[in-house]
Amino acid sequence: MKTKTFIKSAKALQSITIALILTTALFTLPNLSNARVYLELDSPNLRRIPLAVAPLQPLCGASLNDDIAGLGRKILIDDLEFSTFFELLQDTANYLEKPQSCNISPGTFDYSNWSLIGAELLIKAGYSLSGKTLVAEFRLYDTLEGKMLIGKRYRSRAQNIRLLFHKFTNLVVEEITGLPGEFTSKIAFCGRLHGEPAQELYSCDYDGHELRQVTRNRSINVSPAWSKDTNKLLYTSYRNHNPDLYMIDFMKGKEVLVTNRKGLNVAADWSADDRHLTLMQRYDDHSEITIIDSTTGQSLRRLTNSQASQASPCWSPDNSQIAFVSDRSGTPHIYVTAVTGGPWRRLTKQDAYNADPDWSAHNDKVVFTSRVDGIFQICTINADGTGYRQLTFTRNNCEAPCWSPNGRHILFTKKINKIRQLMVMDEKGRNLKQITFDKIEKKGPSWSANR
Amino acid sequence: MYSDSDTVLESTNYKFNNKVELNATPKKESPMKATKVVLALALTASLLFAFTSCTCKPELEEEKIGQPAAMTTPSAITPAPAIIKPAVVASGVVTIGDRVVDIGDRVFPVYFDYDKAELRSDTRETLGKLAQWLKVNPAIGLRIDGHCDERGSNEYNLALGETRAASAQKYLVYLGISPDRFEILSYGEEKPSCSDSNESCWSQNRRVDFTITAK
Repeated sequence: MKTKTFIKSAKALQSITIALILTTALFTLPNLSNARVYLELDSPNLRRIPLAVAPLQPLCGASLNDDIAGLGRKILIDDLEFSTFFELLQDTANYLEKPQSCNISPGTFDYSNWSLIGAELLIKAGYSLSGKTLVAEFRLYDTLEGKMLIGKRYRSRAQNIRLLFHKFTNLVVEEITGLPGEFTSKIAFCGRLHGEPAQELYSCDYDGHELRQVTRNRSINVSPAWSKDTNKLLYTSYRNHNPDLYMIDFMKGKEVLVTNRKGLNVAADWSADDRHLTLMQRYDDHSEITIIDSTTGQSLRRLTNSQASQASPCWSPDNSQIAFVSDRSGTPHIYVTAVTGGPWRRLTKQDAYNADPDWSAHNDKVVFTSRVDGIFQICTINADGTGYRQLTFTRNNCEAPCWSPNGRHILFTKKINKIRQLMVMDEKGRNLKQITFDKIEKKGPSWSANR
Repeated sequence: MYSDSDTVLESTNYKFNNKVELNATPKKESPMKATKVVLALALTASLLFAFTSCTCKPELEEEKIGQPAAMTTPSAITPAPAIIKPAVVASGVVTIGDRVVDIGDRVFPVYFDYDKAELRSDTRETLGKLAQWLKVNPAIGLRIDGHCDERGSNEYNLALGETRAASAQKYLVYLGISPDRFEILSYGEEKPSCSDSNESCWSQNRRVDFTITAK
């Protein structure tokens, strides 16, 4: 039995306890000894738990605001549907409760109203807007056992409504699975308007909202990579006429040059402890894989020494191996070598063009781009070379895949109406969703852990 | 990553300076002019456009409100040293062998087959003429930029572009030009000369082009 279950997880228990200690003034402590197992993530036939999101209501005494109520409920539903753990019960018109009846707290409503329509879990939320300050209260209930699982109150500026609701849905997913949701993660990518010479970095939320421009140097910027602690973003810029590696440090509010070695300094990937980087650098007039110190930029090791070109290195989650692309067989394929160097092992044998590997931090799978019958598709393979699986079957090129922070989703680009957009699907290629719809051509996305 | 015991959430929603203007229409300019614009702007880019300062307030508070933790976003970026634009040795029309070429501050490109860095016969012929011209203009140095079309991995294309530039350099050295007159650089698929998605456009993008760097 894995620990990724509600009651078996010490972490979940601890977090429940802390959450409830914090909120004892508001809420009563549930009887943990009877808590049920909700989801076992490793189960082959994962059951979706029926969950209802009650219409949002003003907190007692606050005034009605349809915009907040509508948007807030949509964020809750979209997040929880994205997680793939829940069956969202949408038919709120038949709910037996009176709306706006100040009944989100335990004891103010009847659980059977909800269990009767099939909901095993229930989310109730209330809000109050005063000036620009938004207060939101959330409750997650187990309607079968008739008890509250989470109670939270957040306060923020109203413009942060998405963040505020994402914070709560992270907790809901963690409560049920033992792993937090991915809803406060950030995606960074390179973007370009059609025909423009400049390519800048942008960021957005996991769902494509909150789009922001990160760089404004009017040069060509490529290959963003979030540090594992999410505080730093690496990227390569041509603004000094050489592809140099820069690091934005969001905690210190500054940017530093990591390395400006002559030639390529691109496709950097962070080690699990953020101390080292692996990247492409020029040796003997072609691209090789190297390892450098992430703070000083000092070269630690040239990992490959080949007549061919190497590209796109990424670390294995235990930091012991590096997967990368090499064209030494004539066309690009993915290889694996020990982080200390040594012989290579060829990982991909299918088709003639495999590139852009990303190694999942949570299972031993590598996701990559493969050219199948002339079209680039997203595929996965086990790190031991078994289990090759094509996940997309499309006539439009799909490229540059990367794993979500918990390894349950894959982000990639797909050409739609002549523009590469960001797409997300689950690890098995289901639940495909386009998350960006604007005119910016998007490349090379990187997905951070929750910030 | 997330802790329930936090009473005040730290830097959860970093904020950059401006919302993105999605409806901005791309400027229509010739590729050559656009290149010059980039050069000119690069001089001031990091100073003017890198990041504007932003002292953001904490974004979200949870339960009891304490003193919010200070949070900053990138406000100052190490300015890039001013770029000295390569000296343009010659401008206008020059004669190379029997060809008359408007070089401006660059020389004509040579082209490659898809996914290949090998020199085609027409490429070798063009490079041969370039080598002759370099012999009679010994003061000229060249930056050799390797490019790819948009298909395939961007990062692998950066490696491929470098190999293409190196192939062209190697051939020029083979023809008797000193290697220290060249620098190579790869743009992969990031600096297309044509931005449509069709073979005629792709074939123009699979190229190595040359920029005069010194005299």
